[in-house]
Amino acid sequence: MSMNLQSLYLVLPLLLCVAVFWWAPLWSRRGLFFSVTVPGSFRDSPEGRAVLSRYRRGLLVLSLLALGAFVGVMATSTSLWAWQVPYLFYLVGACVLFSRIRGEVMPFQVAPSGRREASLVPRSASLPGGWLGQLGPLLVLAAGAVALARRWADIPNRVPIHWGLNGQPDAWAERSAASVFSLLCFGAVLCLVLWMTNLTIIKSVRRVSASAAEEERHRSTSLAITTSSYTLAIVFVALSFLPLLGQGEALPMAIWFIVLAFPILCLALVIFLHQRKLRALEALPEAAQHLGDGTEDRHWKAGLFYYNPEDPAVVIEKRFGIGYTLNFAKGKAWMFLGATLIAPVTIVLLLLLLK
Amino acid sequence: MGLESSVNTFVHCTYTIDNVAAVPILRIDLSSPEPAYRQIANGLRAFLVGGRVAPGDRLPPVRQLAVDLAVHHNTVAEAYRQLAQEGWLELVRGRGAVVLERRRPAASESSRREVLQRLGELLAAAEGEGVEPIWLAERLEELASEVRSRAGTNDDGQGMAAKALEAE
Repeated sequence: MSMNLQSLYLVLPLLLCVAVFWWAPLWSRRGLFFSVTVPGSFRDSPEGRAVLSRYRRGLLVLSLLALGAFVGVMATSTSLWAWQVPYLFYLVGACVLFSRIRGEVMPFQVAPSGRREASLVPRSASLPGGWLGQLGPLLVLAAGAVALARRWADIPNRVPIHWGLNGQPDAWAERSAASVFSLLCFGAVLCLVLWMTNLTIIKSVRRVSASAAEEERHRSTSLAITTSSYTLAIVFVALSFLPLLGQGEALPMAIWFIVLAFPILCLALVIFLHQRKLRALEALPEAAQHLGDGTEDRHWKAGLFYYNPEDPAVVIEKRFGIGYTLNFAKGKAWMFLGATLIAPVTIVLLLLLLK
Repeated sequence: MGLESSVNTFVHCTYTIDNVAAVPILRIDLSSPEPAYRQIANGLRAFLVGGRVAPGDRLPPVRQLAVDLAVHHNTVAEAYRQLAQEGWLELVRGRGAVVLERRRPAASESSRREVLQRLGELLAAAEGEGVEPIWLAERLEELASEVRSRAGTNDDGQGMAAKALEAE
């Protein structure tokens, strides 16, 4: 892989972060702005527009500084760890900027609505594609494992288990059940984590509004997660078969393309569906009742972390940007966090053991 | 019962037409002085009396309703228990609450007097807060017509009692 493509792979997440942070203030519900409860019309008021403009100016300066740091690192260091510095700088800077802008919105804060609504129809627990559709990624991985086992004799004695950013393997292991099937096992753990996330979104996340648009909004996120799960399974099977393909051990361009393009496509799809449903929700007559997001400002620590022992919800919507966060006052939230950390920790530990 | 909470009960229990399908939606107001469990029980009872939730229907599990309404599980459980005691619901472990076929009990004289007293207080409070008597009368006529139609379709000998109450 050429240096230019490698640089693109490293700088692309930074550009994505810039785009996401740029638009994130406009993705939340209308009564929320920088994690503060405000009147529904505040975002379009001169004050609201001025705040957004100041935020974006700050973000622009921060992004240019981060890109400058990126170019500096590219010119002076080849260490992969050094490449993390611009990201760290950018994330810390973005948090500081968010906190400052949130402080500017605070004077316009209003009391959150106490109105709540709920559908009296029990929620359908069916996940996209049903049980078979959810089981699909694991079946793909299992089929890959069976096919690998059948061609055991063709597998070389040394198999790659990790690839660098140049697309070349940088860690190998002797042929064994652990080294050959490790990637499929990682894939299975990741797919299980995604399945757990899906189940939580469908069954346990609060529906602030009882409308169908609200339900569809959560289901579209679940659909995007299911699609990611299938893609991950296919990528892991492809990686496991590399030693057998007879094209060397370098990563084929198709896999690089999936790794690069798929997260962007998925993110774009989630944002598009989320926004479409949110606008549909705001167009409903019930929206005039300003339901908010069912939480109060005082429970949002620094505007980002939700802590409310009285709220039975464990997973709730973020107030800034798109997605979900945890109610850190709940033991189950910490268990969920632990379970989602299992996948990366397992990967690192197993890689260390196999090396 | 104050004017606000009574009005809320009706407003919050409207059968809302969504952009796709009509579903019964329970609405409460946590900033209201009326306890949340009572708002939930009153709202559910309005649906049950109106027949919008029919016998055999299942209500959402306590956990789901509590999460959506952002109240403690016990708050929803208390409302369900109250309605179960009144004979509206059957609480089945693991299955949630199932709506029962309920025969209307015979009202005692004292309960009729209490209803009249509460209605009188409510109307006085409404007028005290500036609600126009004509507007009130029109809404009462609508409600009376609704009650009358229910008495007609589900008359088990007590339709006359409803009429008597109306006349009184």
